[in-house]
Amino acid sequence: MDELLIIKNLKTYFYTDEGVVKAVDDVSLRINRGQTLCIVGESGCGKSITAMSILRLIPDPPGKIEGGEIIFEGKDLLKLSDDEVREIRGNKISMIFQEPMTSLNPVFTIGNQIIEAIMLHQKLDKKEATKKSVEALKLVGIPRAEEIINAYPHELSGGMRQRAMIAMAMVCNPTLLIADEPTTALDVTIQAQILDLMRKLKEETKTSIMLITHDLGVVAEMAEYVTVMYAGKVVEEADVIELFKNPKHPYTLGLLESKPQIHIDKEKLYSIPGQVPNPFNLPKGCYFFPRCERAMEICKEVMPTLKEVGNGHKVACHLYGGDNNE
Amino acid sequence: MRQYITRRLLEMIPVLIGISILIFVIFQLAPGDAVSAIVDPKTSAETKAKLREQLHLNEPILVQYKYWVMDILKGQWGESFYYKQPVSRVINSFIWNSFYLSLASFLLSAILSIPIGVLSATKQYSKFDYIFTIFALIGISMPSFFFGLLLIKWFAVDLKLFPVSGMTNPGSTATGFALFKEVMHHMALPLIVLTLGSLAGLMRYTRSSMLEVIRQDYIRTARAKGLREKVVIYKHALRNALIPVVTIFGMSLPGLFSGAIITEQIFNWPGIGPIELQAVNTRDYPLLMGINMLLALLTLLGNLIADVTYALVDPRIRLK
Repeated sequence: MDELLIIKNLKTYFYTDEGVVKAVDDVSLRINRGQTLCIVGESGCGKSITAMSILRLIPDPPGKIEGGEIIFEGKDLLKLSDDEVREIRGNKISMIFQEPMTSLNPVFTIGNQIIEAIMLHQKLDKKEATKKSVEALKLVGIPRAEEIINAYPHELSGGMRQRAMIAMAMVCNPTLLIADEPTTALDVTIQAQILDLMRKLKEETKTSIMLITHDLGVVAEMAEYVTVMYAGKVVEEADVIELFKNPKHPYTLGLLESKPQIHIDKEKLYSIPGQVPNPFNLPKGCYFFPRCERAMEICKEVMPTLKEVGNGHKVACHLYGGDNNE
Repeated sequence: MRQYITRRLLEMIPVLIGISILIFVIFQLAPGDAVSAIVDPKTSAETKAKLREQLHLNEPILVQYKYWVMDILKGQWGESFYYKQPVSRVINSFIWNSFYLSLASFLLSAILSIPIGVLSATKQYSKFDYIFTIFALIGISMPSFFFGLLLIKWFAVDLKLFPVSGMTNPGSTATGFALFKEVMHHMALPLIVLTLGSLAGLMRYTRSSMLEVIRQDYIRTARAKGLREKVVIYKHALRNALIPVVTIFGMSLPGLFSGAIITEQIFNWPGIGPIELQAVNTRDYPLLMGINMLLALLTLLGNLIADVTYALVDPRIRLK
């Protein structure tokens, strides 16, 4: 397999007045060229922080990447100088964010903001960059691109803004696109359009996508490989079909259970009992133990490690892997 | 835009009428009348009565208001009791001195406050930030009469670097650039006093505005694009952070003309500030009313300028 990005034992901590939050705690994952990886989890599970760590966009203070490696095309991003990372940002790895309403600068035109990225990374002059921006806007399905280029963000709808964000992210032909809940703030029909667009662009450009979401519907539609995170740790990862067919971790099972299904008539939607643990006061053993319906004695004391259970399926749970528990 | 400005200018007319009524009524309520202010207390009652008649002071208040407004519309702001000169001439001969001083202080504090505010925000809780926070606290809390005297003691009396007071040397005949140099030399100390006061506030304002902006999502987007930190801060963030600051600049227009009473008094700067104070003490009502009307007009214009600049810097604001 041709690996594009390998994250090894990434640790991103936040130092707050109340204590240290281990937002990303020993996370490892990988993305192959041309692959779409989905990272799934509840709010605050560290999925966005993982993504931001890749581009070293963690605000410091209070955040700090405390350890691990992020190998992109053979180079450890964490060891590069600030200038070298800047050359990768928006060029080889670009990112789109959850809130299209606030992710574009309100005082500059759409064109201005896209041209800026092109001129920065491709050393084109303004005229060529403008032409390229119009093409990029057309590619993401924005009508009247020649006019929209002179529009300010507030003059566009949420869906259009997210398209513009995608145009901005794709304009330098990145090899990896990180999309942090790109459809969460959009209404359902627009969501589908944006996902279609991303899939189309991926097929055309062979860009790998790291898609962060809490929506399993989006996962089913987009992912080839899935990583499930809980409280800063990876609890399960597998091929998308394997994961949906054969989910192992009680948390993943819970997530799947709490997804509404059209053809099943249920009085009330299932929800995982309890709440996401307090990051300042994590349980000693498995972080999911207090909410787990199948918790055992060992779960209270020992943190399970991620182990292969066949079919490339890995899970961090004491229910699987029997006697090789440490 | 032109339509908007025209409409706003027209709207100013009723507001100004309202202000003129208020000013007139308030000065009518003030104790004593013009006659008791202008004449020698030993003057006979007869002469006083004649004078009252001449000044229309025996007429009903509405009639008096009419006389005053008619005169203002004719460009006659009345005659200052104290200076025995037309009010407009008195104002004109002092207000520009105040304006030069205030403008210099305004420009200096704008030029200094913005970069300091930005640096304090981007390096929040650093030594730089703390030093300027303390500096701002001192600037805000130090009374100008004290600070002014301190500067005079140090730099004018002890070190003899700057003149103690005035705007030019006594009996100076300098013109052109020599005059400019002389005025600048005299201006230095009052300028420092005035700038310290306004700089502190503006700096803190820029800082908090900047702190809010650099936490915005679009700043993260700018970084994710690979822009240099300088471009992120000075292009993407500053442009947004300055929007509220620009409004404050627009509103400081009347302040440029109203003079700094205390500072001008201490440095004996021939500005309008001490004249205002003197007019109050001598019950020079025509002069006071003239100054107040002028400041009211400037305040309204300042607000209009603030609104227009607001629309110019923020594309989300469209004036209709």
